[in-house]
Amino acid sequence: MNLIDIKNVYKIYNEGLDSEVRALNGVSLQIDRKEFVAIIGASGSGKSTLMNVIGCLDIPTYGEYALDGEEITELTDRELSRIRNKEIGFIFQGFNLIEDLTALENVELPLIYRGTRPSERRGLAERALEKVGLADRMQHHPKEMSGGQQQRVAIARALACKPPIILADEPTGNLDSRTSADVMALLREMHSEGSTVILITHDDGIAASAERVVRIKDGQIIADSASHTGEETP
Amino acid sequence: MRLIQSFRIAFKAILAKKGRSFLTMLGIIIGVAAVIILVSLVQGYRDQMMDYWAKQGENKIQIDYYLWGSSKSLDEELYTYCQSLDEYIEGVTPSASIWGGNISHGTKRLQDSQVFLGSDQYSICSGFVLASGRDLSYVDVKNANRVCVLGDYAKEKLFNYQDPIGKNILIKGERFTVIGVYKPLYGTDEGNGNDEWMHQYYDGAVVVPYTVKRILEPSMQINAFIVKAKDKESTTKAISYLGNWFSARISQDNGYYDVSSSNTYIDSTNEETRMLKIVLGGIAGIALLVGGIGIMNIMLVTVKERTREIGIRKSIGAERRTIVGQFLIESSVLSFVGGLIGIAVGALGTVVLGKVLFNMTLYPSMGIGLGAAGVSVLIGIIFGAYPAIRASGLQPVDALRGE
Repeated sequence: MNLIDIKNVYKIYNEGLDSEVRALNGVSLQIDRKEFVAIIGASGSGKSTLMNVIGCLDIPTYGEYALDGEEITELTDRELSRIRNKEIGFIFQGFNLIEDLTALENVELPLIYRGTRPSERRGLAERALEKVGLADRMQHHPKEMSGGQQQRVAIARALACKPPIILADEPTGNLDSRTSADVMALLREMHSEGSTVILITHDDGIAASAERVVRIKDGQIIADSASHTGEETP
Repeated sequence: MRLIQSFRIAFKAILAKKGRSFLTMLGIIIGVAAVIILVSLVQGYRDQMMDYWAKQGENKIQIDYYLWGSSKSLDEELYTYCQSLDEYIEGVTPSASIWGGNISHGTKRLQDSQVFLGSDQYSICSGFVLASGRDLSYVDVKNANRVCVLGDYAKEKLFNYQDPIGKNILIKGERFTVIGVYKPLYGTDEGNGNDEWMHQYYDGAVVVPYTVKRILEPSMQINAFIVKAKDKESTTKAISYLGNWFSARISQDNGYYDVSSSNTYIDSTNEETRMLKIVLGGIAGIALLVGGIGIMNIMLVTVKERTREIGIRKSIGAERRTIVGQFLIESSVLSFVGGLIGIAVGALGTVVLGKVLFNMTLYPSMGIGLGAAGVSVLIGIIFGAYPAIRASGLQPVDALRGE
């Protein structure tokens, strides 16, 4: 069974109106455990929509999406929250840190929602921040940090929960080339430690880090380096 | 467990946004404090007035009459008539005073004294209670005995701490024997400036049988009386009887008369302060409303910012009810703390303003304060939780966009 099994998924805005937009127009995609996949496409190609669907941040208009065998479209808000909390670690282009909380508190947040005990939680968060090289920035607020540092806090937040899937949406989009290299190195490390990493990007250079590259254009997959057809997985 | 977590998250959020938290509370603080202060000041003023009237004596009827160009007096007739109204009336006394000059006992003097001409029912009508000795008697009045009863202040001035009973004092050169002393009508222990003056005036009284006026002030006419009625109802009845009695004897051609009671003043004071309370309470209510709208504004302005925050929280696994819980707790805590500070500020403001403006010790009206606090807390909770309830229902991706 595939970890991610997307079958003929559509995401349609303003359906039936003149302004109808098909952000996803019949996408099928299978991703296995421990893969490192890059989804590449130009701006407006539907790659971010695809990521939102994969990450359970959005519900497809039509189609089926099974994550680890569970049909996402049939889950309650509570069950979706649990999946976002336990199964998926997000790394966003805009970092999406909570401005009013310190780096440590931001990293602790998903663990709080999971119900981890405070002592254990603090340890996990500190270790995650140490891992991304921010041991000396734990009590800083996002505003006091550079973009690269903020992105590393976001990565630590994703890491701390040890989720099986890491979803990175243009993680280097707001960073310079040197800090980008650091971030990519962290993603590769997570992959080598056993996480499934899905990277969304418009940059072929960044995508080259991945084992498998999926190209998306106008809401449809136009190329897949693994040539998975969805029929079976080796 | 989950609740403790929600509290923890809410407190973190409040402390993290100190400026916004303070502004949110400020509206509630000002509103609640304004309501408490204004209503308490009016209430305090009313209580003070009521206290004054109560000491002046409730159910007291004041009678003034005058007959033009006639030396004829209705006094005897009036007395007799009042006796016949004993179903409603407890006592009647002339209400007249003469300037006593310097009343003296040995070397001690009571300066600028007022000598009150009273009947044997003077103390009943004036609210005085005997402290020692005896009161004026019917015989004293009938025989125009040269006796007097002293108020507390007069006794202090003339006798200090000596026992004055049986001693003599000089009033306008005439010798009078002190037969009794009244308890103070106005205490001085509160150090209240107003009461101090009242104490000197009312408790500086020297009361003599009204019949001795022929010795002290022969030319004087007594044309004012005080009648003490038994209760409120009796007061009304007695006023109407007395009014009828006078109208049968005095018309516009030969004089005038006036029969009124302090109950009328009490009623009008009550009415007056009731109106003041409504008006000022209304103004304070508007202050509270504006405060509430302020809270509402701050909460709504931050909806966008908070919607994004909710998006972030959802994307890392917060459940809807956890988020709503967090925001509910956050706004409840803010509003409650604001309400409590408002009550404290209002209470303090009432006491301070009462002293500064009216030289009175006022007590804040807590019922009103709690009501005002309740309303503002409700506003705070509703508008604080509103963004959360709305945004947490969105798909995380829509919330992240911040709408």
